[in-house]
Amino acid sequence: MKRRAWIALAEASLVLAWAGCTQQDLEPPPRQAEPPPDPDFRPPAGFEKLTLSTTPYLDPEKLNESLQPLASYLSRYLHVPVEVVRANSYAHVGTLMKEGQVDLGSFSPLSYVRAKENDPGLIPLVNFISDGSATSAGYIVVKESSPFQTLEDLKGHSFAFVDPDSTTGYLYAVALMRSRNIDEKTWFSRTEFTGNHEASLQAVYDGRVDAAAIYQGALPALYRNKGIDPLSFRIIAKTRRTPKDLFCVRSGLPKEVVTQIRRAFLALTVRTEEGRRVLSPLNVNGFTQVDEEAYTEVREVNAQFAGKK
Amino acid sequence: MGIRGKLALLVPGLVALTVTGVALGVTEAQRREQTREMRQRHEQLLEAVGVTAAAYVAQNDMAGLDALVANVSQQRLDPDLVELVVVNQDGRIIAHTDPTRFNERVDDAFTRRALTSVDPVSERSGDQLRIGVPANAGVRWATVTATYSLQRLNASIARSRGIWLLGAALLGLVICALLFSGLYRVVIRPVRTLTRVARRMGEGVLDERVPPLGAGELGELGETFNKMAAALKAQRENLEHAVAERTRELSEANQRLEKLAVTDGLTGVFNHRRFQEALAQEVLRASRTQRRFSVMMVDVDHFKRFNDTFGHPAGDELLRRLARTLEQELRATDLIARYGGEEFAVVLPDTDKDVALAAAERLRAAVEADLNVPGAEHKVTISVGLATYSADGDTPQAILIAADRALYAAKHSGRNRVVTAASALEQVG
Repeated sequence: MKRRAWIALAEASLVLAWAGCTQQDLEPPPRQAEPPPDPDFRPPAGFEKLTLSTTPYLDPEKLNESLQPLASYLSRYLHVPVEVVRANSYAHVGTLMKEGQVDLGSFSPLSYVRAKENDPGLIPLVNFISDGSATSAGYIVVKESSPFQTLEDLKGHSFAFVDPDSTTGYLYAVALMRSRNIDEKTWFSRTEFTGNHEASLQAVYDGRVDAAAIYQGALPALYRNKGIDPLSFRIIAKTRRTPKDLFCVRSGLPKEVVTQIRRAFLALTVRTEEGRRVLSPLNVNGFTQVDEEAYTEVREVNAQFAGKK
Repeated sequence: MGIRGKLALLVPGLVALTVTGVALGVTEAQRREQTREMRQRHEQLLEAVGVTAAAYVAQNDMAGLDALVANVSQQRLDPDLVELVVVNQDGRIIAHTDPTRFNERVDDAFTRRALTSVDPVSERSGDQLRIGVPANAGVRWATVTATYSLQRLNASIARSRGIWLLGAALLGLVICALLFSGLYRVVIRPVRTLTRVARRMGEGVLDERVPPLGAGELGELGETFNKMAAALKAQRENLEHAVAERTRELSEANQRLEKLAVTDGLTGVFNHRRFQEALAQEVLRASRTQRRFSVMMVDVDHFKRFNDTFGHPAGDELLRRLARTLEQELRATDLIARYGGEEFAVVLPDTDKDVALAAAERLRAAVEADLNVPGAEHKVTISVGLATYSADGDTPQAILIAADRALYAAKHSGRNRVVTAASALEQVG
């Protein structure tokens, strides 16, 4: 991890140097304009508890564990207990929030786009940054020992998707296949939704499926959680990059609470011990304010392929 | 086209060509320099990217490598970057601005060169610049190639070229104006002055002179013009003088010839031909004016005998002396001619019979008195026949016949006398 941090730092310096050296009409890099969380914050009347949920993009048990430091952190700034609520599927988070059972939830880009369609009051709050980027690519992986080198090699073999609301684990993988004239419904002998990225990787590792679509963070997550070497897998294709997951708050949450939560998220950094304690389990570098524009492409791809399932 | 027109075309043409050439040369040099700077700058940045990429590849951190490529590829960081590619040493794409191109094999000449070169390589084709650098982290892990668009640079060069050309055009105008005004003073105006003077010389005006045109060839030419004009003028004056002299000489010769043609060689009075002309003219004049004139025929009496006695030279001398007497005794307006032999004829204009008769008598007496030596054996006398227009004839022939008849009558009646035509008729009658 320490080495990764150094690399991220070097990269950040490089990006800054790059920006400094290129044409002068470039915008300066975005900065966190938000002030730190208010230390004198007191919860408004009626706000007694914050419920937190997330799309089950990794193993749900492990995910709940990794969310605990975040829950404690938020609780410290909000002065109310923070409870983690488990969601059954990607779409379930949106449903829970719409019903008011969950106040704060994390979404994949696609599940956010779809939840927002159903619940326009949903408020996007902060974006994940990981691997030094607010975007990530999806990988199509096979087992290293398998003979498959390309998507085309997978004709007649089995394939695992994550969830119909997963961006890299489903939508962008389908878009990639369609761009190569591969219809996932007929090309493969069998497809299945495994529920999360780790489960998909595990299925490939176990030989239950020949290939899977995952997000790039699943490989280190599987290594962390199960000790499976990422080099057990071979990447044979990559999807276009999508925005990272994001946190949203439900409509109706007091405005000062929303502001305090956002400030608390944006204050998180791996440069502090507390930040590392919260962020490391999530394999996240930090958070940034949501750029709604970044989801335009996801909406377009969703509109293009959602009806072709 | 005049020299001014030619210079008006030539000078701006040459100036425009020169300044345009300079402007294009400067902007081309600018383009090369800026492209070179851009290439160097991007090579250095890509080498830094290569170091970071190598670290990710070394750790097999595909997500980190992808994030690096995605971050560096951001349009706002470098609007000229078209694509950034990390290629492994087998020539396969392991990271790309477009992640879906992962695992593609790249086999173009440039990438092959980049894969084997230990130094940065670059290639410019059309509107694009490609740069390839090794991704080194102790050992070579991969190769980074990037494609940059030169459109912004070219647009900037085009703007710069436009400004240069505009500046060059303005400078050209100023140079043209200065050159043209200089040429006008140094060449055109002197040449026009020379042309004007030459034209005046051509028209025959040799007094016109070229004003001083300063030192140099044109000044020398002006002086030469002036010397030429002076020489031509002197030559012409000499020629005119010679022509006048020749004309005068010719005129005198003509006068002499004319005189010879109408003068009697012996006596110096008019000859027979001139007398005939004068008589005819006088008849015409008299018939027009209704005025009278008379004709006198004078003959030396016994001239043959005089000749025989004293010799022909004495006879000739006698005739000359008689002619002098005639000239002395008669009026300047009377025309005296030797009619032939010892016979003289005289036309007396505006003279009637009586006046003519008196003149003839005076003449006869003068001859008798002047031409004789007192006591000489041979006496010189004259007989005169006189006729008057139009009483005695109204044509030259008629008058001559009448005068001749009167002379005959004078001879016949004893010589040394004057007989009028009318009295001659009476004598005959």
